[in-house]
Amino acid sequence: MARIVLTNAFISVGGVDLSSLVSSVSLSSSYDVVETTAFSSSASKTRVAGLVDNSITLEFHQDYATSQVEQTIYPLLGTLATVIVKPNGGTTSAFNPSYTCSAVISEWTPVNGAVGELASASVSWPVSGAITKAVV
Amino acid sequence: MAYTVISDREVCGKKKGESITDKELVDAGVSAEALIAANHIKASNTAQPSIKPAIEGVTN
Repeated sequence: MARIVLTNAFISVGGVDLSSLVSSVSLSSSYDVVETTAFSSSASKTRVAGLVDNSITLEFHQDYATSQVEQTIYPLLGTLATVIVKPNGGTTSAFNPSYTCSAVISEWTPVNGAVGELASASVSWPVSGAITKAVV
Repeated sequence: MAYTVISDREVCGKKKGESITDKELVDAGVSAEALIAANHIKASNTAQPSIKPAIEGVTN
């Protein structure tokens, strides 16, 4: 399998394809590490994986026009929204898996940027529950 | 309940002008209220055209 450069990632928030207004995406999972060390002859710590904490980080190009970023995200604030991410906008497959999760829209920066900069909004939303990976 | 996509952006894979049902939105786990508030969809006009009953003795 070839390396991939992200140029056409797919990002849908609340059912709306916002791919062309997102410049960065990061979907991450991190497991708690629970220690299980007990008396033994190995003299080494032992551990198991605990609860998983999933989150999604996005960088939006802000756009206040009809049906664009601001109008899409603002009504979702404080709610759970379905987020779908794919490395490529093409058909879902084993080489272009689809990741679906229910994100808590817990933060939003409607206005963000310095003079001369592109208005943007960076968010990191915790995921409620698991991330579902689909390959078909 | 059916809705029409009015957004320039794809909504649950549907393009502008296409129809989407409540079931499709529920299956996709998305909120119809939020999509309406964001001007992505609008309720389709499902009202039937009213047909007035014919009145006896009246001719057109």
